[in-house]
Amino acid sequence: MLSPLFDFNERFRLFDSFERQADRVFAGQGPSSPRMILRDTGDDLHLVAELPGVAENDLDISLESDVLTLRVAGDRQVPSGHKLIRSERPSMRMVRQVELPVRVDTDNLQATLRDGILELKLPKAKEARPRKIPVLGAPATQSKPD
Amino acid sequence: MNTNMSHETSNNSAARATRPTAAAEPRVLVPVVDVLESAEQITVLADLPGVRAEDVKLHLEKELLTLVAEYNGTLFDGPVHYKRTFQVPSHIDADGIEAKSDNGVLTLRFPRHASAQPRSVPVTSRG
Repeated sequence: MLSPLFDFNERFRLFDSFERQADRVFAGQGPSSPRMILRDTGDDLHLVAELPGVAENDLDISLESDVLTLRVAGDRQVPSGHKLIRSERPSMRMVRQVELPVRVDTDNLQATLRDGILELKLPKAKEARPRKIPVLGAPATQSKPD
Repeated sequence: MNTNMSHETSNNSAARATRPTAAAEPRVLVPVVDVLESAEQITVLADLPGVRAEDVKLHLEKELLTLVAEYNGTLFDGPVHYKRTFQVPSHIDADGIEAKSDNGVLTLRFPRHASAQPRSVPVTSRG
């Protein structure tokens, strides 16, 4: 605990609390809901999630039938001798579940966590991949005369 | 002609023409932060997902520290610029400010001046 003598009544100030709140509303970043996008790239599903502060060991990814689960178990600790005087960052602890729209090839999942962004590549199961269907026209029997 | 980009206004098309026209305008966000205080220092932790250390810029002018960070990756809808300004109290040693980036979180350490740190005062007895 800091005594007022060393506090000088002069706080660390942030200038833009109003702006910040407005931004959070528009960005849709509520507490514990990092930005997450699932894309269909044709042969793959591609999931991207913001997980700032999360290390590889904190993250658990599992797939059960069509439900993908991201789980971060650990959470941040305030180091001893420190006091948290402002807390805006959402808790690291979270569980997010996503129902995948198609079956995926579970043997070839690929996950990368870099600078607090998770990239997950989920190749679709063979039967779920797009197939090109040839369109047959009438056979060209004759070339057009000049 | 003034080509200084920092003076560019939203309708200054001449300055804008130097950029590729296809590039999306960045979304400007204020990063969320935690602030920790101890006897020796103030620590600010800012969430900057996807931002590499080399894309963080810190500018200290008088008592104002401005943090600008850029995420120019293609994983989301477009680039994101983070910007936030902090007022650094006078009991902070500005020369000792340190910054470190790890897993998309920027840690800023603001050491207090030695004179502002608590110290024990020896008590002597007159015997």
